[in-house]
Amino acid sequence: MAILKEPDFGTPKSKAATMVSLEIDGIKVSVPEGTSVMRAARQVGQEVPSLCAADMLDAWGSCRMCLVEIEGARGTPASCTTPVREGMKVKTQTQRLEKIRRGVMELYISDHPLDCLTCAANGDCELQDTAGEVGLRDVRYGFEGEKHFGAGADPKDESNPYFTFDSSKCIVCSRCVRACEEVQGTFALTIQGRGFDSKVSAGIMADDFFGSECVSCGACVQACPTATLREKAVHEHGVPNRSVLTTCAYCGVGCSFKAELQGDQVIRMVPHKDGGANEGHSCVKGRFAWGYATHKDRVTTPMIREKTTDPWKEVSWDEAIHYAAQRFRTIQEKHGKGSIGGITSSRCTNEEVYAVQKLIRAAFGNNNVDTCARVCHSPTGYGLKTTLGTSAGTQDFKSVEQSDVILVIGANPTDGHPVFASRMKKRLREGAKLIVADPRRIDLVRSPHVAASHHLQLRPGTNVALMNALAHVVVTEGLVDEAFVAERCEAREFDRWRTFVAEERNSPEALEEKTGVPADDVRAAARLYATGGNAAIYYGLGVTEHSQGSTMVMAMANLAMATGNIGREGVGINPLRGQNNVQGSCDMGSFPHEFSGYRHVSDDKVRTLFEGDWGVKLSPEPGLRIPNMFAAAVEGSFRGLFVQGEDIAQSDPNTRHVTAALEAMECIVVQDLFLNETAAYAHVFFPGTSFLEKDGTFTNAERRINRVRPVMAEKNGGMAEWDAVCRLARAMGYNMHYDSASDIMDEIARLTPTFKGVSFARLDREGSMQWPVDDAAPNGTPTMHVAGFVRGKGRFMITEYVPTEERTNRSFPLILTTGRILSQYNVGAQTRRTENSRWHEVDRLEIHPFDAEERGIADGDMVSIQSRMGAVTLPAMISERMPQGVVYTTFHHPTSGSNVITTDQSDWATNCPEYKVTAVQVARSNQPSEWQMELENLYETNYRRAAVEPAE
Amino acid sequence: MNTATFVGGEDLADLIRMANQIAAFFGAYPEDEAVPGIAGHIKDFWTMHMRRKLDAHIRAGGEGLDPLVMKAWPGADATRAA
Repeated sequence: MAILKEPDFGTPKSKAATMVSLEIDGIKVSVPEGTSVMRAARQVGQEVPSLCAADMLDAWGSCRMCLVEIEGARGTPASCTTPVREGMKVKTQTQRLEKIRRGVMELYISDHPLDCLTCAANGDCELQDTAGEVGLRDVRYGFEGEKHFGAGADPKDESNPYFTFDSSKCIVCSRCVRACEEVQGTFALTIQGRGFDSKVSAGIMADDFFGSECVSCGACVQACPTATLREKAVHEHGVPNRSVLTTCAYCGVGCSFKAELQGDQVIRMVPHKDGGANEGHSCVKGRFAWGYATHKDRVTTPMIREKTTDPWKEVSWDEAIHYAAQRFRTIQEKHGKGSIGGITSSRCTNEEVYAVQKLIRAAFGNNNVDTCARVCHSPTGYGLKTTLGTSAGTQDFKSVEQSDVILVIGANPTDGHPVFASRMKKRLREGAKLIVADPRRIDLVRSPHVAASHHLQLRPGTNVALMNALAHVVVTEGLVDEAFVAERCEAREFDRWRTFVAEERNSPEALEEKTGVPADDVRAAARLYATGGNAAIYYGLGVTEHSQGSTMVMAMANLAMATGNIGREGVGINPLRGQNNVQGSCDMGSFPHEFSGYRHVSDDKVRTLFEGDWGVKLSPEPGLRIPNMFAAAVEGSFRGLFVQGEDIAQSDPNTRHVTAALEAMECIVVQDLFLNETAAYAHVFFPGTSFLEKDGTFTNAERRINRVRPVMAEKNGGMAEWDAVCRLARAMGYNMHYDSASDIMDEIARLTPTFKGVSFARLDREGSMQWPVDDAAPNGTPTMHVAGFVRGKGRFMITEYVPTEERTNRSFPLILTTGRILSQYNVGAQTRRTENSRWHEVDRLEIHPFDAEERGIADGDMVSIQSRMGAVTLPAMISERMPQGVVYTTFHHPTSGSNVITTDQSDWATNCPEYKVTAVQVARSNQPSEWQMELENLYETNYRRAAVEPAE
Repeated sequence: MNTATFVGGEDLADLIRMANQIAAFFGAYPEDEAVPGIAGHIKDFWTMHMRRKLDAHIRAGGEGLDPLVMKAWPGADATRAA
């Protein structure tokens, strides 16, 4: 499509129910009370000019361009700050207004360079457009006076890798400052100086943008009406001339973007205002870090090799597919049907994931399929299905706008899910109360205009104890919502749970020693959660990646049910899911025990349905989970693996065990953008496509199915992942064929009740839909469990606290926990290949000053981190965010090898690894660990590529 | 073609640990509910290979296993048609 410009109504939408009728230039209009005159005018197509107004920001009233005349009112009020009144008669254009506006514009332009033709905003400049609209023909004041451009201008600030700040173009409309405050919530920008000296500043005088508090979300750039803040790509290439609506491929927030292009070259990604998940906001990853898609490291040709130490040989797609098929079949002939399997990707589309699990179940003939959710949110699926009946979060993101109390557990939204964090912070600034349960003092605990009422700084591994203590207070202090529980939940299970949590051993006082959280804080937090109005729980991997991950999910569901905080807007229990399509990959049947829509493979009725559709007999036995695959590989019975878009060698725990398993296999097929860490052990490489080349859908953490649309042709020889997978299936003797990704979605809808009403045509029409989309909810389901729980009655589960077997002792006295940082994403394969690395060049070990001093460690020293599993060396960062006794690192760089030290401990129900608790010792060190040195060797031996023979 | 379908390689010690973890969760319930709870969980999520390996260990006395796992075992090991 041509460039898409969403309408801007100038001021935010009013949520009032009462309607007000008025007349604008003779046109009758009816709008909600509290609407501005500007918005009402623009709604009926009367475009009042403005410079400082934008509908994502509150009215500001500074530019004096939007003046109107109102019958019976004195003067010419600003339409952006004037609310509508019943019977009002407004004129947006009169001779008087025309004269005033032209005069104001003349003043603006007297302090603005006239280099429009060579300006980066040429053709995309609101100042230029408005000057045109008001008919500016002359600037009587001249350009000789004191001014902000030319010789007197400040130098351009080019410090941010993605955008420039050129104050000579600034008209001090404050839109950037307000966007930073109101939309992003970082408060990094301000206007410094007064009167004519006013200018935008990123902090103090000495700060540039890069060195400031700015998180590079892009909201200021988007808000700027001139070329003051502008993407460097626009400076370099010019303004884009066409748009494609698509979905970000980073985290589980799943922001909608307009990819703005020239030809098939992406100029910029701009968040889409109508995107349900993000409503026009973005973060540094989605907005700017997409350059990896065209990075020189991308492999675009299929490759094969006999042994992993052979150099890679480039071949045709046909040759690669037949080579892989033949090796897989040979393995199965020798070692049995169950000796191969595959891993689907949470980075890929629903359609691609569905095709891979079908390949495995139908062509491989077994259920040996798993996905990366195994290592992140599998306990969410298990815990929420057991208690509520559905393996997914209960709310849409917008719901947080109705929350009065927000309980954040084991999540760091400002780094991990920044766009949702901005929504949450906005609600907190409006007065909602915040409780944070986290061993670290995450940014949310105290950041500009946000302060947690309670920070429950618990010891890693004691989540369930803390949750039981909170529930104890609710039950013993009479804070249960008895009516809700009586109507909505199973009475027997509730009574039993009530008795259990009421036991004295579950009181905050009894558990204080275990959790490390003062009992009074726990009591106060529980009272706030239970009585503070709409209370919502948001949680992350700090909940799930524990030996009691599933128990903890159930404990949170218990608490929400007991206090009636489920089944309406503003409440609920919400996993903040890690990857763009991790919800979707689970929905699509990526787990070894269930088909799409979470139906067990042993269910004869369901299996018969799939057998009929797929024309093949299917196994009723659960297949191998990822850890089972590794164990079986080491033992020798599992010999072949197809891995799509997942870097298990870097992301899975106990690296030595993982690499031993990978080394033991006879054939590994990796499909990815890059030769990742897993590819060192692969025999066949299928080049993948980036999200900019894909046609399909992603499902985000709020169950929202969003379209992903290609903005450029596939760079891997025109082969969509699902197409390569179908060809592999056919080469292995199973006839699997689709004409398009849309075809695959039709099959998903046909076989999956919760997707019954989903199709590409409907998604294109509606924008997005949240499953279930079925006969009962033909337009989707923003809030779950409204009239009743999906399982019928809510089920309280007894959640006994069982400490992990991973314990500290004299040899390993510290607990290591892991997490993410804003600028990098997971294993870093994408973000490390962008300028985002400038914010985070290496992973560091955060350590409390006392623990550091005890070991003679100074900030920046190299330290060895040793667990029972292995050791790595990282630079230390002394940080008071850490509690004493706990250290922390990220895992974005492969050479950091944080998984060399993580253990085999896992969640009891789902085998989700216990990444968050590893007992370690930390000591100063002056050399890389043994593993890190081995990795260097591996890079030399296992990544070689044969020279391509020149064409004849 | 070799028709062996059920592969695996878990250490017995891992299987014992995992079974005991499951028992520790369901152990909070009365025995008449805990036993089918454990059995159902193992049947739904464990591979045939894992079940067979633990079965052999149980036949040999089941050393190291929570007594609840031993009680649940007949229900957990129900072999489905391949």
